[in-house]
Amino acid sequence: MNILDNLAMGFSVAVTPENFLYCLAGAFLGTLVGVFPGLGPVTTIAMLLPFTFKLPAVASLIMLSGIYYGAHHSGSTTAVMLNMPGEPTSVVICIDGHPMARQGRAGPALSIAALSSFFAGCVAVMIIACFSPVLASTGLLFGPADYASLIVMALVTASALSAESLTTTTAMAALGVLLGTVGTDVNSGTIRFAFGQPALADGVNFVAAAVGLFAFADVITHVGTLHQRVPLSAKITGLLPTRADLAASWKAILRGTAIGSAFGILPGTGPLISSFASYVMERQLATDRTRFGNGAIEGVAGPEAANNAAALTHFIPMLTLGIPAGAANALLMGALIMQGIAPGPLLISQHANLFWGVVASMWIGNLMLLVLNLPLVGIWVRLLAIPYRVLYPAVLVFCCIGVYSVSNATFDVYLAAGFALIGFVFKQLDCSPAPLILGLVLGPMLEENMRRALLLSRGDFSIFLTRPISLSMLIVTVALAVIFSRSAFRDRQARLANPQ
Amino acid sequence: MLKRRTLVGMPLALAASRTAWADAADGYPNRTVRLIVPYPPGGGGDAVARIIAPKLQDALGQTFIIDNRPGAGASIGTDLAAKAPPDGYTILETPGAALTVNPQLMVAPYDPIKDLAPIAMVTRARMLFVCAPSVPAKTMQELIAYAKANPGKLNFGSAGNGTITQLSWEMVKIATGIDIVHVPYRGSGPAINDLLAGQIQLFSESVLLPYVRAGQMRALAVSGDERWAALPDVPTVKEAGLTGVNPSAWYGVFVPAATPAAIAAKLSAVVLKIAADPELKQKFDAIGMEPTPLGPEAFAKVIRDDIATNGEVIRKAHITLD
Repeated sequence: MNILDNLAMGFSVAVTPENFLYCLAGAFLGTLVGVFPGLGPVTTIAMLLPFTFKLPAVASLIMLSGIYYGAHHSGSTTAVMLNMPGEPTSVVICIDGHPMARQGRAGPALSIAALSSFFAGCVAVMIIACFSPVLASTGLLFGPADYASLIVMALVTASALSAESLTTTTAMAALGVLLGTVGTDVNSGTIRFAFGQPALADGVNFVAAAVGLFAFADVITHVGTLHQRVPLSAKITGLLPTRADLAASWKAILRGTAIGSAFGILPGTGPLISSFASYVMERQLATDRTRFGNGAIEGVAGPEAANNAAALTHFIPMLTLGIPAGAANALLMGALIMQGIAPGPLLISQHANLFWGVVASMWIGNLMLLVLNLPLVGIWVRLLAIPYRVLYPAVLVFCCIGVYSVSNATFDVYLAAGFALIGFVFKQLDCSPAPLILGLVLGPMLEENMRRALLLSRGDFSIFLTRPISLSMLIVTVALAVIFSRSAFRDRQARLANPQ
Repeated sequence: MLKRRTLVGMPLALAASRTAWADAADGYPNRTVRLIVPYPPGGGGDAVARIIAPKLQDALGQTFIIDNRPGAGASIGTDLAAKAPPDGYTILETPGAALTVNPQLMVAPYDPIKDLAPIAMVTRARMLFVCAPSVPAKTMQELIAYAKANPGKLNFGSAGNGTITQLSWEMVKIATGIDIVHVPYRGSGPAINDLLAGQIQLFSESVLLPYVRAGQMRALAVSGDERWAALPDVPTVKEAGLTGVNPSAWYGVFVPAATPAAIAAKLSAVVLKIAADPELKQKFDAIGMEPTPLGPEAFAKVIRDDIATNGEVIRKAHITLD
């Protein structure tokens, strides 16, 4: 059977009224729950997982996948509207998406996010359909040493995330890495820097840190300003992107999709690295870099496309090898196992209708999300007109629910409150917390992979230079470091030449 | 006077408390029961809870809510259950590690024997010992011979320090004296990935069946006293010539130790009946588990034995946390 036959079979499975409805329900529920601040795809799936246990296997996976990409789509909504990333990948959406909302351009920001998600989603599904078996083993080429070098590259890239000085961003990323050392050491099992708190044994909860540093700190800062009674965004200029917006975005969307599709195949690190690699790329390629951080639409379009492409190509290792590429995929696999289907190398051949049905449903689901999300933009934008005194307490409550629900722990809510204070100080000092979040997420992965690589090489550091993938990553890292410091130097010269 | 009144009152109080006991069991449960799972949704411990919860609901007429309380290697959820009000409205469903491994590795805030009362064992999972197909060994004995000829060359992965996946190969190491290197991962997924990629060569888990069937891993032995119906050609650990190696991965239900005996007995009877339900056998099969209904006393003995066995492995292999 060739791909067209397979896809035809997939569509015949996906368009049965029942499966179509589950796909719609999944996408809708995912959107709905994912839009809560602090609730990313993982929490959303975890909460809704039990509902699918009574469904047939295909319907269950169709619905859960719908929840997964639905929540991925709407993750950017809270980032744009409330400066609140629901998951690590939407951290970069905050950088330019939220300034757009403050300028009254929340509509175009959300619309372009929906459009780029849709485009990237379609391309990624095509990649899954055509190349899954070929790409299956790509993830296996990456050993621990290669991952370690990849993450070093990502952390160096993080230093080019914002307009602040290279020293500040690097220091913030380093602080994030240090915070990442809290918790159980994978190699020895020792619990580090947890102050006897069992709740810290698994490390600093990312959602608590993000909610505290972004959303809570934002609320504190704005309560302290004189214009408290003015709504978040006084005038709203149009809901749809203008022709100029589209002209500025389409290349970013294409590049983001390419980056996302490629990185998504790597288990663990993929989507996060791809979304901010896309951001940094757009920033470096831009003729006027100062627009970034102040509401550049490419800064939303590119990373959003990358994020969604990666979220979908992340399915490849799960469907072809039975290896969950991230926490959300692990939950989807759990659901399959509960259905009596063991995900693994034989899944595509033994459960062809499941595989192709789900792939076909992803296309339908992405289309539905576009239809669902564009009209919603109007509603979300109107929320911004709500006065602070009503909006902010509600935001605080929803954030607390989101933080609590990650692992049903009250401790995490207090942790978020602590981060809020730190975040407020950072805001006063003009330090963007985005590199810190990246350090917090990537730091533990770096440590884990580096130490694992050294364990496998029996302590020989040359493993990072003798593996071709690792070596090329390190060479690229050095090159990037040179490029970034040169462009940072030029930005500084420009600033000194024309002080505003 | 006072004394006499107390003496007179005592039998009355006893009688009253006896009725209260009987009432507690008769009226139990009259509201929602919380079933704590100390792992996130989607894993084996969660799956067992989700399979038995609807049956508990049918049998006892009340809603059983699954409350996932992950963290600190199951210690957070287990501690929560151990310290919950002992009224039968908070029960715990967990794999063995939370009781038989963790308290020996870290300062656990609970005592697995004193703070929790076993209700029943529900299922057991088979631990499958596998190697990568690239290793020139078709049987466990060949593998041991190969490892002895090439000391320090083979790596075995685990789902993390102090997990049963690590203890399994540590047991083989102790029993045979081979020199293999432990490489811990965060969960089984990444370890499977690296085994398929050839970074590590050995692993032990209960979910490896699809890989063995696809020829991507070679099964060397399986835990348990009889062969596993799913892989009838694979010898048991004993048949493979390993003495003292039989990692035990069970899933069971517990209540806080001070729970009234009548309530515990009622729960026990219901859980045992559910575990023996032929309709559920299929569901357990599908997740690679075998139903093993075992009452409180027999279960308590298994727990004590496992604590002793795992403790010995932990000491001999010098596994330390904290």
